[in-house]
Amino acid sequence: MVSLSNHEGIARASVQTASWFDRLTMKRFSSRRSPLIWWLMAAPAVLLCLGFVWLPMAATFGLSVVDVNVLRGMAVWRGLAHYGDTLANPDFHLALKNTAIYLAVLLPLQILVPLLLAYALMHLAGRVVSLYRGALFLPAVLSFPIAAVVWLWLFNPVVGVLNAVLTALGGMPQRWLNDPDMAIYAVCAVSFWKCFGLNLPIFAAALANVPPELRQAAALDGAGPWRRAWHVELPMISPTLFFAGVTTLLLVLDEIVGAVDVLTEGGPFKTSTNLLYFLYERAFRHFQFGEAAAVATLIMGLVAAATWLQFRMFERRVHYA
Amino acid sequence: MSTTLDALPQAAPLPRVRLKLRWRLRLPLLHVALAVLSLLTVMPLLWMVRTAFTPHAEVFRSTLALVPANPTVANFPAAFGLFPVGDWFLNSLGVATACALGKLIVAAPAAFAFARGRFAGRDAGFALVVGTMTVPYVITLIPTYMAVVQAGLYDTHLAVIIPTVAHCGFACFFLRQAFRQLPGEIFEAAAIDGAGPWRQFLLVALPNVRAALAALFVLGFLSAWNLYLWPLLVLESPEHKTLAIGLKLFATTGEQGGQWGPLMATAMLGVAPVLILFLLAQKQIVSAFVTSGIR
Amino acid sequence: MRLSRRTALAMPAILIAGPARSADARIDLVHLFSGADHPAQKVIAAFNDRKLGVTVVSRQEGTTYEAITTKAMAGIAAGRPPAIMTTGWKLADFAKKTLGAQDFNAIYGADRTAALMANFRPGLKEICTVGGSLIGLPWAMSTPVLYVNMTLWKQAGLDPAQVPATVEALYPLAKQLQERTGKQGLIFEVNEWLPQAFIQNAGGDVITREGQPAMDSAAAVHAIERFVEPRRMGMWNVLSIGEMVTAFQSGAIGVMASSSARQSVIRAQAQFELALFQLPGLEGRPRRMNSGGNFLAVYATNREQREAALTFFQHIASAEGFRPWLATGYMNTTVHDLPAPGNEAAHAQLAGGLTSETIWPGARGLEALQAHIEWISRIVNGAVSVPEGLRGSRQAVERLISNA
Repeated sequence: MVSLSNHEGIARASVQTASWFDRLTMKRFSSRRSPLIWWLMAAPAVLLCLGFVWLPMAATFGLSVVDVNVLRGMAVWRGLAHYGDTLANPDFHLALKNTAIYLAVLLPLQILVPLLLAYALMHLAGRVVSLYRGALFLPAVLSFPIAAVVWLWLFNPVVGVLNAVLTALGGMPQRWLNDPDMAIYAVCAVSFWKCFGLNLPIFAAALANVPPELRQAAALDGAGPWRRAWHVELPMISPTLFFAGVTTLLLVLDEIVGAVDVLTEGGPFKTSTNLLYFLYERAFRHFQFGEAAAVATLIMGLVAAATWLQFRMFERRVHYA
Repeated sequence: MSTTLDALPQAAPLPRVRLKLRWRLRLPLLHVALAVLSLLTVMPLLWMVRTAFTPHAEVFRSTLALVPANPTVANFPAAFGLFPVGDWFLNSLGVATACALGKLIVAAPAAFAFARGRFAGRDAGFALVVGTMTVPYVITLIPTYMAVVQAGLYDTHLAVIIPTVAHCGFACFFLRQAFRQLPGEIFEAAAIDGAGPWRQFLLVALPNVRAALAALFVLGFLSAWNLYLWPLLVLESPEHKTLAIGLKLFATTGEQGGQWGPLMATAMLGVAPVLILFLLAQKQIVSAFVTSGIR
Repeated sequence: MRLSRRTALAMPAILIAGPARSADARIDLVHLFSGADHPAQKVIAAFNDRKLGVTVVSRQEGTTYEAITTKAMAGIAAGRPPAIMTTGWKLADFAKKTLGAQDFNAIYGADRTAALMANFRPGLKEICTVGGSLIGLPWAMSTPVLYVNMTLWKQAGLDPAQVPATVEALYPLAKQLQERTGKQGLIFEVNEWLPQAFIQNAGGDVITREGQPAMDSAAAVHAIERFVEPRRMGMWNVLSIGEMVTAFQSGAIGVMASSSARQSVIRAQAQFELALFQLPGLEGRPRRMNSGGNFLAVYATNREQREAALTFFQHIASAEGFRPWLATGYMNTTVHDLPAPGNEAAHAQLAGGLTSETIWPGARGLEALQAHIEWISRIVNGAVSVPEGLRGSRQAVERLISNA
């Protein structure tokens, strides 16, 4: 912490330096109490948010009830037909089912594994620990497409190292991304590899924030590490776990698309697609913008519902410190 | 310096927990387990590096040796010959920097106004900006694409930068917190000396939240470096592509007979800046992620 | 709208062109041929070296016709059509109806068009004509052939002089090769094209002359049952096309059925004795092989670009302009007498008479094609039975044709 006098020093020095910017605005608007100056400062952010988030959101609802021909620039009223078509589309059902699979696989993994690791790291000491931390966190800074390209090479069924390892261990070589029963889990594996490290320092920080008195009290009561973890630490960090869950949900619905596109393009025959990829295909492969806007609206509804459900489910269980 | 970041829990040393002997004996086992896991985690990247330095003829020989028999750097020029990899790299660098800076330039004054200003509509404006954090960008995708095309920005880097900068909700929220944590006295002192909001912002507020700005810059840079779907949609020419989407084009040209060496060399270029950034400022990056995760 | 369209065209043009390099007209050729040493690059370089006031810029934007067509759609929607694009023959109808491929007679006049087309074999004009408009230059024509790794073939004790003419005779030999060498016996590329060859050879059609999907006829079911047999026999490990090529090049597979146009790529890397044969037919049914590939269509919207495209077309239609192109494995579609060493099998198949590739009708033809490929992939992977899968494809395609 820097002392207050130092701040004042900075302030005084800075005030003496004339700022043409301020003089300009002061002259125009006479008083620093004028709300206009404040509004000018906030304006770019507010306008950008309006123009690039709220307005497009409204436009999406509007688009979802028309048929747009991008090549000819025409729009035809369709009412709720796009919603009906989408809900009846077997490919949409597949995307929905796959999104559920992605969630069911990644949600527990993304929370359990980093939690166990954070817990283990807490009990270790020495320089080597920061090495572990660095290594485990490293993939988290990569981008999905780059991570996916690296794994594309590992997964290569002919000359890839994974099959080489499998064969060396006496196993059967696999088709990995070409195998309709395996592709989605391969994408899960890459996503997990790329993302689990992200939660590690977050959980570690939460664990470090658990008041030591609580731990000591539990230890005095004769609780071992397992019981302490279960009765003291887990309840204390539950809000963090909850937010990690929300982040994972967004990950599955959003970012994962970079891995899907590079690894499988949603294939073989849509077995590894998800909702966003389905939307991408409707909108930007087949240019059915109206239909895709309906899909976007449905996804938005699902995200809202899922988030609400998560909040409701955790509301009572989460122990806010 | 009193900053948001230093106040973060991450910076505090983790408590050493005293364990009973029975548990302490298990620690070496834990070390072995973590060492193995760490190695497994970085293995895909090591294999990427290995392939990037492996000559073409050797790439197809199925082997598990981590060091190629005849290491070569030929894959790098080969990659540059196949695709405008240099352009991709510079484009990524430029776009990511512009996005990160742009977000700061837009968010910082707004956050200051929301933190220190008293004006009609302040809370509504703040809600409008921060509320964008709850909007999945999926829902804005199609109209934004149409707007970009209509504005004649298709296949330009501005088409990537402007909408990315517009998603500044988190930056505003984060900086507002940082500004509010500064003691009010320093602003009052400045005001007495006749400093208006702009001068207070530029000369008093900004220098005192440097670490928060740095953290935001790193986060913004990394997330823009990793952008995929949006640039894929709006960048068309090969020489306008960013590395992330260029790699996809590269990777799908499998019919060329698997240019895996040059492809991994290109992937290495994609990893290198974030890796260097990571090694230089591991602690700061981790804390930046932690803050964004806790939000 | 008009204003924004104009800016849409101007902005990127300024960004791309930067400082003026020369007074040349620059036109983009969008294609799918990867690699700096692909013959496509040599053709373009040879043309640019002639300095005719036109510079052709090579733009590889994907590796499948579906991918580059999708990209082109995005460009067209943004007011930036490619000047010239290698347009898959299968997408001819789509190119005319949805992408707006230009009619040569309308933009070049009847005389210049006739003079240009006189360089090509008679009959090819028809498959570049959609609804009475000639929309393409028949540049790249291929046909499916059999690639055999003769090193493995001989190693398995098989007779190098006897590569069978029917798949029924081929399969047991490929199985033998697999058992004796431990390498994979056979591989087919998974798309809509090779299955079309099977369906035609069985006497069926993917889409009838009248434009009706017919890929679930009894003949087609018989054909596709034969097509997937190697997988059931445990000698076809289904891979993507890219991986298939890599695997064959690395010597891991005995026999591969694929486009003749892949041979420049395969020959460049294969470290074994490679031989090409005509694609085997089906036992007891007359041979009826198909062609494929692409024509060069013009999408440019302004006069200068269109004229520049014509200059390029005149070059590649000449004997000198076409010669380097034959290295790809595409067949000689011109009337010029040009040697094509190594590609005898494809030319023999051409001499036997080739049908055109299935043309996917309607404004949503690209989507219909992709739906069909997906059903073929389901069948090949054993996710559905052959009749089920083909019926699924017919229903999907019917829906997309009627919806257009």
